[in-house]
Amino acid sequence: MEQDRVRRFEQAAELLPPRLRRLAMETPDERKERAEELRLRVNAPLTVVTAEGEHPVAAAERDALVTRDDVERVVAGVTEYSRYASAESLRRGFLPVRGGFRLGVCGTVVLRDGAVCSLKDYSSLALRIVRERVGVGEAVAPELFDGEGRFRSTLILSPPGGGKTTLLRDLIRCLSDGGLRVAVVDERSELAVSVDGCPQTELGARTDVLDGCPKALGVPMVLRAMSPQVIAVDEIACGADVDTMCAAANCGVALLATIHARDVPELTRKPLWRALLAAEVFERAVVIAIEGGARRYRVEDVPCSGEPARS
Amino acid sequence: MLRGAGALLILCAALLTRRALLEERRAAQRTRRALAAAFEAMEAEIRALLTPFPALLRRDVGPEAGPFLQAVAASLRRGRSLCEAWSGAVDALPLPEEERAALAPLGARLGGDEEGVRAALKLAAEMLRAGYEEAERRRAQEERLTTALCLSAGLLLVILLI
Repeated sequence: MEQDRVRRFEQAAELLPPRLRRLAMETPDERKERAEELRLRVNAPLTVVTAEGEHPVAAAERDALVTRDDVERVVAGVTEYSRYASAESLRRGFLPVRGGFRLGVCGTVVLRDGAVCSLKDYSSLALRIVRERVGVGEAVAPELFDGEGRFRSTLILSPPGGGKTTLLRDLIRCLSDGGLRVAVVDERSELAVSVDGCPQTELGARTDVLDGCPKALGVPMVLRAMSPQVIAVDEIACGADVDTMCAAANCGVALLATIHARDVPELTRKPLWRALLAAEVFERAVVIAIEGGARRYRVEDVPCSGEPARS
Repeated sequence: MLRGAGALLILCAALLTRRALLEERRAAQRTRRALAAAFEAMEAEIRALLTPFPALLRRDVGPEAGPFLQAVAASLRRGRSLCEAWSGAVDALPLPEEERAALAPLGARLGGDEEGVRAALKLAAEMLRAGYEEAERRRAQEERLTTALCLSAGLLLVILLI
């Protein structure tokens, strides 16, 4: 496992220009294992992000200084010198990378008619090392079915950084390999990390991925096109997402989604989530809690708040 | 007898030189036509499918345009920028200096947005088509001129040596 983590770090470092790549490769193995991101900021040193914080890759910060050309080269390499082909992703501030990584991009926003049209003058990059944890959902998955073997729509809850996406990814794989047709609407390309239409993560044999599409548009599309038994989405975050989930539930499909909330009681305190509960879309919740440095998964029933459903 | 054979050999050399010069021009014409078609196809594919450059450069575009696309792809694999890769490949094209000088700067526009890339490819195709048409227009005159120059040079050499 540790070797695999080191290898993933080194694969990510391969995306850097030669000078920075060499410095990143010199990072001690124990830090490589814990690395979550590589951060590049123009005129600042390249850093490795772990749970403990950011660490420069070289003792002498000047050696690891990132130039504008370095940043441009990374973006050019990731987009395969074809920025036009990644324009939509770039507009939303990230790029999926072959091998299952993800590049967050910051720079100057180009606005047209009040909407973000593009990004230019890139100033910061966050190269996220997406780590799959195949098997993490196997113990949880059986608890998400009722006595008749029907999958019950499920919410995955945790604060940011709690591992919701990792669990969701593996639950998708479990359901799919267990015989269900799962459609994934991967709005931020974080679940499948699709490159040229090929998912870079394991999502199971019966999974269809609609990549880079907003949930409100994507869910009706997969309902019409793929007749899924389960639709999976990451991060329900706004009223439009709640409406989409309600509409999908009315079509008889089961749902699997993540949401930012510490636990079920927190869901009932926030108006938006109360509306979701009132619609009785979700029946189960998997609450992720970090206890003693380890993640624990607790499956609970989702209460109905009694509030009317959003139209 | 020996002088006659020598004169014949000089005239043959003149004719071979003429043939080589004309073949060079024909090769340039084939390259212009094939590259223009390749750039137009790339532009159309970007417009329809937003296909990235590495996939476009792998397309089978025939023996005239193929080496250009392969040279760009090989340079990209070596870590050069698209602009450098394009300029390097343009330098190796069998085209007159002024045409290569006009095509080379277009590489700088290939790293931009869809509109810019498509405009650059269209412009490159138009330049090549214009070059092709101009060369076709001048072909008969240039062929006559080349023939006259080669034969005159050969005859002059024969007169001077014999």
